[in-house]
Amino acid sequence: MNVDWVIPCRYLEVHENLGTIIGAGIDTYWLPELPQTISVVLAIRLLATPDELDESVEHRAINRVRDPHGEQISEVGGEFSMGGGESARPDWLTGIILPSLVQIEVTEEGTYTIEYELDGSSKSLPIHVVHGLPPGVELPDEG
Amino acid sequence: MQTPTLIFDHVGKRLSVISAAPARKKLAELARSKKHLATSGRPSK
Repeated sequence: MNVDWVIPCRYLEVHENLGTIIGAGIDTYWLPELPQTISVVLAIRLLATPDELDESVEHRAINRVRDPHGEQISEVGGEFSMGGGESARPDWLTGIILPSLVQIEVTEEGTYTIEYELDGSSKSLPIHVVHGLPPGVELPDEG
Repeated sequence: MQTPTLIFDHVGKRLSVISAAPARKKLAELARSKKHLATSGRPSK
């Protein structure tokens, strides 16, 4: 199984293995206060052979986070399986849209790195953290 | 195919695998959150 692409976004829904992605391209988080936990939504596209998508096949997912100094600050991983289903042709690679959420405690301004690894295939992306809000922007109370 | 949603919780140090319906609810709650602002690197463009 290979990680084809990873798109950070605001929201993602998957129906019939097709993704509806809202706010694609998010890469900067403006935080009035630090430290704070941020939630990064990722739309992941995987490429797999049909046998790899069998419900009995376990996959290993690992997520690593590096701080603005390049030091790995956290690693979380585990096993999961896909929900079965039919591919169009048994000899074709099948694309799967896999929603993922990464929750990170950020403590300082700078560029963090999220590495997404699945069955040994990986992609990395930068997430910028700014302490403060853009000029003229105020966050409403959550109420 | 019922695609799972993977939640990598680096605060609680665990991976959760949840199904589509509760995942949509959780992602919708996060999208409405006002604790921070998430943008591209050039939000005014």
